Amino acid sequence: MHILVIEDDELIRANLRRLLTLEGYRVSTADNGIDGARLALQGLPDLIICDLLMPGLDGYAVLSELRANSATQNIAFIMLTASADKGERERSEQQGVTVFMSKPFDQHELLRAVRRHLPQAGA
Amino acid sequence: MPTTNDREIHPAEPSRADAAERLRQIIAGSHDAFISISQDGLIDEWNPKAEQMFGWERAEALGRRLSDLIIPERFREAHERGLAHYLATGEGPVLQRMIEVDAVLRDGREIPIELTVLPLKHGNASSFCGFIRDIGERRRAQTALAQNAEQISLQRDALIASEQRYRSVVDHAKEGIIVTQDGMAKFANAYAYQLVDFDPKESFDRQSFELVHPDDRAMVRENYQRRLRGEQVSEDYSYRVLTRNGQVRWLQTKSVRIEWEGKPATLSFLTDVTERTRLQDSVRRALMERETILATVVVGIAHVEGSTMRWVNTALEQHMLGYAKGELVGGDVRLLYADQQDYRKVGQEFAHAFAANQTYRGEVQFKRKDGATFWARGLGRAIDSNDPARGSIWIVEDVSQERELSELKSRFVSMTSHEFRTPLATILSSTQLLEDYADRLPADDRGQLLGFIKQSVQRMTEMLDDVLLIGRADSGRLEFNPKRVDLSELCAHLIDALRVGIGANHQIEFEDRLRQPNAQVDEKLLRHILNNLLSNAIKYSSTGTRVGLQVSADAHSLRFEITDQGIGIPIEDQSLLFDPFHRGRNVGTIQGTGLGLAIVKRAIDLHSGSIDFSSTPGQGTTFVVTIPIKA
Repeated sequence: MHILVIEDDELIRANLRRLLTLEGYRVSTADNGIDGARLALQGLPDLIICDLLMPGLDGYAVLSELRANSATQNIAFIMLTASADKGERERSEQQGVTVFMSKPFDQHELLRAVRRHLPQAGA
Repeated sequence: MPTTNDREIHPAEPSRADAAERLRQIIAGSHDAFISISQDGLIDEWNPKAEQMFGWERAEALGRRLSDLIIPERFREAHERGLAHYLATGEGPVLQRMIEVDAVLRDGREIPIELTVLPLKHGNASSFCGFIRDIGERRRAQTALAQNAEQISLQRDALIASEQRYRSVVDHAKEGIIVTQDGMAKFANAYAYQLVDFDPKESFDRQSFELVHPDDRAMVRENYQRRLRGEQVSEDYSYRVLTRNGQVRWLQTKSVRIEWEGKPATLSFLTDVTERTRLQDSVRRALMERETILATVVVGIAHVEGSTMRWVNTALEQHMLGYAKGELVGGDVRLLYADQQDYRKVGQEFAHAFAANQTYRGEVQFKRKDGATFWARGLGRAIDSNDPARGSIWIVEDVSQERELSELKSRFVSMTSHEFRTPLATILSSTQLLEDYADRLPADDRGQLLGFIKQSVQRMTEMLDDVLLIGRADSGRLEFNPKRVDLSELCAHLIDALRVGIGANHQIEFEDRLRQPNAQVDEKLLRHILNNLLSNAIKYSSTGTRVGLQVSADAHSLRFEITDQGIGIPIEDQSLLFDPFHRGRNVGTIQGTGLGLAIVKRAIDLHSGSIDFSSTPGQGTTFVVTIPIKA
């Protein structure tokens, strides 16, 4: 299974890669939205974990680009955000985010969401 | 004695006939009437004056009986009797003296006459001659005189009565009346005495101005003197007097110039207006106090009827809205609303509050006369909830700053929570990785995770330090310890650290133009200033671009110039750049607390220095810090 991580914070990106690798997933990463969207279209990952606030394209912009493309429109999209805004969860649901998680996030919870939304490959 | 040589004059000896003729001429020319009668009572002489007086010709009178001709009938018998008595006895009480009797004229009128009768003896015969003067004129004059005297006496009585009447009026008048001449009170009525607590039995007996309150004396004296000179002076004014009992009393005077005993004087009518003045004073003071309160109070106050402003105080009209005094009175409140929709909204909400007899409360944007807008909080209440026509009273507060602060606060809350969540996420994920996968993680990875935790804790600590620092700076508790510092070394170290740290991907240039590297500065604060400005330059510009620090000095000051080729500062944010928590609108997702420059500004202030900048959005920014050199 292939997971794409789009996250501008270097430490969080490194930890996500470490966690997912340890759990046996293939992981690719991008540190900004533009590169992330490009990698998603090229690599067609099974799931995307994306930060909301990033320079260039933010999480919503990446999502809308993926949803506009038939090849990527059904990829599960987990949004991570440090935003304290309460309206953000609602907004993310309207935008078609699969799972919304606030930072700091519990890694067990994240892994549960990842497992739940990955395509059930032959299982 | 005459000498023989002298020529003697011998008057001719008068003959008897001559003497008779001369006598006749004297009698004829006499101014008195002359009548003589024989002892039989017949007229034998009647001079022209007698003719003129009685109306009988001499020829007619001669030979007539005197008593028939000129003696009024009622005296005729007495006359005949007297004549007979004299002839018989030689006694006549009315003879040889002046008597006043009445005589009758030819036309029957009677006149008073003055008569002197002289008896003449010719041997045994007697005759009488009489000198008569018409005293009618004199009598009339005397009567007139007597009548005059009586009239004068009557007039005098009337005058006395009138004077008494006037005096009574003057003395009972409830108004002081005083005549002043030569600076002295020449006359004063009872009430005038009473006004200054004097007994009317005493006299003022002194300069009347002495009774005037010292503060008003010059004014009263001047008015008096000008009035005496005939100049135009206010007829009606007030001043204070000091009564004999030491009280201060307000008198209102009405004065005119008069003649008094032939000399100019002033006549003044005085009214006690102490109570009135006191009342006026207290009313005036109360009004003034209220006016002062309403003018001084910092909140705006307005009385509105319908949509018309009936009254506005200084704070609202001039300070908040920038109008001239009185300019808004009578104007429409709609003038004040930046957005007319707000007016309709407030109107509806106020109507609800009005109906429920409650106070309306709301915030809208108001527009100043110059067009600038500000946030106003309005509290409105009906004067009388049963009578909308009486209008409403509004309290208006400028809450722009408050709103800005609360906006700032919410920005601070969201900023800090966002800025803290990222390192917290790293800490949590690192610890969970260590917990869950400790046995599968190589030692290097475990070390790296612990390093992540440390790094995140440090990042959070730095942010907290910034918040605490700005708090200390704002409350004046920021420490300032200037001492000798080698600036060249300090700057070089900073640059080295940046080149291997956050500035690794930028071209960091350093130019040291100092001839003398030592200066008196607070090392910690200066480090903070330079580090912050340089970090910003790096943070807000693309990798690969140039960031420069140039340090120089002249005789008076140190100069640090920091340049970048970054995103720049939008014009709209430039004036707020050094405000805490304010961040440029173009920062995007670049992390920051909005505190860095606020702290820089305060650190420079402590050095009595200044900071300037020029910036073009999209091209770059240059900050220049100037710090005076302390001797």
